Amino acid sequence: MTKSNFNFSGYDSHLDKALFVRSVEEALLELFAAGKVSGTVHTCIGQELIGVVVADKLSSSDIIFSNHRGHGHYISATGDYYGLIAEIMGRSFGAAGGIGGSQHLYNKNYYSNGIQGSTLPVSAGCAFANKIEANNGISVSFIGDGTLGEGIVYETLNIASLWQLPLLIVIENNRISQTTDTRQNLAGSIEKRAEAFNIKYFSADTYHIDNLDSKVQESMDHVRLTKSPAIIEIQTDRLRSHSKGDDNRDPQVIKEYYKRDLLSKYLLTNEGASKYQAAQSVVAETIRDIEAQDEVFSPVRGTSATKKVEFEEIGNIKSGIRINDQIYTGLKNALDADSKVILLGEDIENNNSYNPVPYGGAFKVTRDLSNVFPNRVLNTPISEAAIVGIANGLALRGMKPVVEIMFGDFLPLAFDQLINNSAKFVEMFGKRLDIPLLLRVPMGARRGYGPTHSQTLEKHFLGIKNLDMLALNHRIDNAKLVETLICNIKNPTILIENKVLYTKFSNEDKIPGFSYYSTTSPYPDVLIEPKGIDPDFLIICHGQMLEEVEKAVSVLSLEDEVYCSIFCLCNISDPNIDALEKLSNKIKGVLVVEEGSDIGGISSEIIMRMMENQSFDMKSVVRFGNREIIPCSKEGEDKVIPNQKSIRSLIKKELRNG
Amino acid sequence: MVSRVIELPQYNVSDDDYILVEKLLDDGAYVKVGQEIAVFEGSKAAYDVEATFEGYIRFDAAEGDVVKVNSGFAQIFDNLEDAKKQNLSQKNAPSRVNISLKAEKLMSENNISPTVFVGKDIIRLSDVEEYISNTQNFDTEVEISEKSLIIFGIGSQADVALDVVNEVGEFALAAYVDYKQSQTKKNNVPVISHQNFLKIIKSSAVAVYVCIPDRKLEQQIYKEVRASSSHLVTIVSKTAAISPRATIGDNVFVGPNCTVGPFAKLSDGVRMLNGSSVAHHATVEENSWISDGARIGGSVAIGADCLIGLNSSVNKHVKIGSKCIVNSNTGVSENQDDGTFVR
Repeated sequence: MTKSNFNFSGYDSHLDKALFVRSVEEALLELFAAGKVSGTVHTCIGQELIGVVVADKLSSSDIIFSNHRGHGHYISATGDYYGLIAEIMGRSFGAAGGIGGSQHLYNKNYYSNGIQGSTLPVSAGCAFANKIEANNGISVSFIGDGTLGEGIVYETLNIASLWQLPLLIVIENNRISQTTDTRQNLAGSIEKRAEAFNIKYFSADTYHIDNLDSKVQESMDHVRLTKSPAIIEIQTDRLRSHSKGDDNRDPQVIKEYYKRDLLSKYLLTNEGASKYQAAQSVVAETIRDIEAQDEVFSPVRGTSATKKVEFEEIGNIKSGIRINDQIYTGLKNALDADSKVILLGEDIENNNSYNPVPYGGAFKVTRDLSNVFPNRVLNTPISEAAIVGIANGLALRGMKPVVEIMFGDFLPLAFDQLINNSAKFVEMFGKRLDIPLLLRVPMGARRGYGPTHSQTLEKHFLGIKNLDMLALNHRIDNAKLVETLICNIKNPTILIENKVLYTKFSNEDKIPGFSYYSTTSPYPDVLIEPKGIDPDFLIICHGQMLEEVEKAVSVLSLEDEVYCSIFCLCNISDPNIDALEKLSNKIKGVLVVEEGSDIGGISSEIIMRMMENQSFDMKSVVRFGNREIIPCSKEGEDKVIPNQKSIRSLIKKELRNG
Repeated sequence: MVSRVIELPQYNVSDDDYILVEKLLDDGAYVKVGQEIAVFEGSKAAYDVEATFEGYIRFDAAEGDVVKVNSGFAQIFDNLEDAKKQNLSQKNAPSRVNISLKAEKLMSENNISPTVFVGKDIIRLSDVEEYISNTQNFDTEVEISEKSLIIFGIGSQADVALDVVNEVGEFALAAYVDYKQSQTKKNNVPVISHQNFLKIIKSSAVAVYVCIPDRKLEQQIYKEVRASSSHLVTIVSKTAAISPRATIGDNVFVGPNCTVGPFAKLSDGVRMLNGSSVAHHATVEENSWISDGARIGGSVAIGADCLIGLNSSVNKHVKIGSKCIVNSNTGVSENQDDGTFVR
């Protein structure tokens, strides 16, 4: 038995192919019953023809996105039943390296993820990439009737229609969501949903194979020829349970489903029965072959060797450029350097054919870029989840999307996309895939925007494998950082831009008598030390907090003769505590200050890393953040958000107590 | 040198600073009151800023710099040379020193100049207290007469200078100053603190010769002496031959058997050592050293802070930039850029 793909030789008709898929899935159920497969398997038994017919119409540049019930789609589109079975059996030579399993399959132009609806914008993003590349490819996304309960579906329909994306959405309507009847969870009609978004609608069922074939062809032709989205709703029956042993339907109803199942009818014929038997033996042999090889996935852990850290003195960064202009310059240079870079976001366009007055972003970062780079800087609807999802699709197909989230407080709307798609795509398919997605996120308070427009939420994105996070500050060259980041980006990255930084300059006065260094990394951490004096305290921070800390440290030195070193992190997803070993024997106490909540926060992570590192012997360790809801008045903000005054008081208190 | 500062007005309540977008004039241009001199950009608009004094202008900010409201960004001078000259030193403005408020208060009460802490970037109360306690040993009474000379510095150049001072006999050495306060007596002459020195030069009229390696501190002492009732002197050996038509600056040393030709110019702080010569029309800028036996040809121009090595020679008309070093026994026949090491 070789690992070559099944070529369907002798299995030429739609029914033959569907029959083969069924034989694989029945075998998977047996493996599950025998305890040889863990987790779950969602079979498409009863629905096989949909995948078979759709796959029959695909061309080589088409991109398929499937869901939790995707085995049939996968075999039909790729022929790789060997890889599928090996994957479900957790083998490292499976279709997704033994990581993805049943719900997360990958094969060149084929992807799947089991989060309902989450894949639809990604699929739309792939369609967008095809449209940009003008390669005549389309994107096909399989969803179910139950998925129509997800809001992101409608965000995606809206954008797919507005941007005329070549996206075919195949809705497999089996009238049941796990165990909940569709009458309990779906209002109105699917057709009218399509109509509302001005999306062409087709319908078919799996009981009439010729009609299914022609309607699928018609819908696909529509998408390919008109370069616009379409929905095809296909009535079908799920013959088995949602996964295993979770079927609460009336057995009588299921009996009726079997009666109209074309494959069940075919199996009653001699031809069908003998082909099924032959398929079963191929599958059985495959399983024996896979069982004989027991390599399962094992992660390659990073080594904990100390990273070499070098410092250089911070000169005066080119003066007179506000930080929003620095970011603008970085974006502009990146757009210039790489045609794959594309900017998406709410209100980021300048004047356009709809509105004559210039705008260019809520914080004026993108300014005239939409005029300078037509069709590469795009206003989006207010749909954070779908925007990030579309960017995920673009990134998956080699584009370099840069998304502006207007306020960091809106980032939770895209949390699913970041966790379950952006960060997972990098490794979950068993291969390292680059996801060059950058999210630019204005964070933070001090502008009086109140509870839901002033938060500092970066800690919620900590500890997610392959999701990187950097924070800008006023001591580094932000133009260079943004350009370098976009040009070299490999992992999905969140760039924290504190909104009060935008109007600041990089060349604000330095604290007299202090040395300023940065690490030589492209994303440099900043170290500020009193010259010739051992510091009383080390203060660690990130982002705009550096400004408050510097002011506090300056006043502490002049008025209180208290001298503190400052360490400001740029890379906050993987804080490099090794950089502090330079100071290790000088540190008496450490204060980690952050603008967000310090409960389970970045400060907690930094302190824990220092504790784990034996080089630090700290008498006093303090964290300082904001645990309150942020009030809208300036005075109120001052009472809850750490600022220069409260930092100074805290240090003085610690020294008194120490 | 008199200058008047042009400050940046506030044009809009929401702007605390403005960007200098364009200078409408070059340094050294003559401006009249009300003349537009620069364009500044705020968050909402750009503004033309006018001169508030008449004279030669020198900008202290560069295009692209951020200037805070009510702070100076240009100065007006009475003569063109000053307007052009100072711009060089501006670029290398020293980094500021961190002096705590308590330290500052004690320094001001005791009339202590920050320069006594040269080399320190952060000055604490304890530093000042330590200085005061140390200087008590240096508060030796110094007897002052009309002929008194104070040599600032206790190194080898002070020894070289003293021989010539004794040879000429015009001055009597009253004291040395050691800003590091490493000893209290040298050659049986009291060594005093910088602090004590400041008191003496203000309360009497003494001659001062400065010979220390720290250029910044030297400049500071020049200023202190010039602002006092005392004066800087030039020390010239009797055996030196100096043309009456040569120009000699302050704090210049010309050792035995040196010659200086007609129309030659030695700027402040220049040192010519045994048997060296500077020919006619040659110029030697501030603080450059001409070592023993070195020969500087006619119309040569030597920049500031150069060292011309033992027995070297510089051919006529050659221009040597500032901060150059010419190795011993080396002939220089070509012009040299700033900072060159010629060997």
